[in-house]
Amino acid sequence: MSISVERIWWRPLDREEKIWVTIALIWCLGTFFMMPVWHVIAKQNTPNESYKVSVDDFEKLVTAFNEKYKVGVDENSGLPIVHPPVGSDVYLAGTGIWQWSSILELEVGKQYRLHLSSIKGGGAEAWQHGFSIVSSKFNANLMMIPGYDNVLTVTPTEAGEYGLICNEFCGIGHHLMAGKIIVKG
Amino acid sequence: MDEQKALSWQALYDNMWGIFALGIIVPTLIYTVWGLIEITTLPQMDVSKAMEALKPAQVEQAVPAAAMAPEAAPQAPAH
Repeated sequence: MSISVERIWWRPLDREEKIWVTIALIWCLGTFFMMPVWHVIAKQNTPNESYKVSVDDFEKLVTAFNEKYKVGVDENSGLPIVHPPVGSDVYLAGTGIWQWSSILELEVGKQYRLHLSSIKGGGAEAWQHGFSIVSSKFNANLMMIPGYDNVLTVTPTEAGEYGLICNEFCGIGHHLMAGKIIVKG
Repeated sequence: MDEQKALSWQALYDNMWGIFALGIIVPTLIYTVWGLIEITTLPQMDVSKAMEALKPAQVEQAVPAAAMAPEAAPQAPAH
């Protein structure tokens, strides 16, 4: 047995319902317009520069970049520490063996163009990774997708060491993807 | 019961299959089709230009001492 009341739902709303619908509508519009407003006020600028690039080509770029600007090797991870010139194009990738391609060493107040993607590295497949900075002050959150180059223009504002994690579940070694960005004063 | 005739959009909302169709069509257009257009129109990265910038710095070719002018040739250390 079902209980239903025969009625016409498009009858004019009563006063209380109108008030609630109006409040909900204002709230919706407010949160909607906060997105573009916050984009400008808080400088939370979503990058909108992307390119198609083959996984192999991006791997060549990463390798050439690491070889040219390598200044040392991180003792813990064994990853190359790379110090690119100010204002240059920086190539960073997540690899198929769940590592970062390098540890970047950047300078405070200088602008860089970070190219983010995913490479095979070690002969494995190129997985979809995520680029996420671990900091209570700064935030950056992008996907690193095989076959695509997402460009993030950054200017570090404070010296320090910032953790880097993968925020897309990329397989059995996802938890191993703890990297680092060093910002020098 | 109110005998007022429902408007056409109201009739659509009252139709279970109409709502179902809208629920499929609207996200397909706004998310899937828009996303596919975005992906297919992405420009190709200029890899050769990028590689050019990453070429190792040019190292000056070493000139054999014999080919140097006598005054420029390295002097043997005096013993």
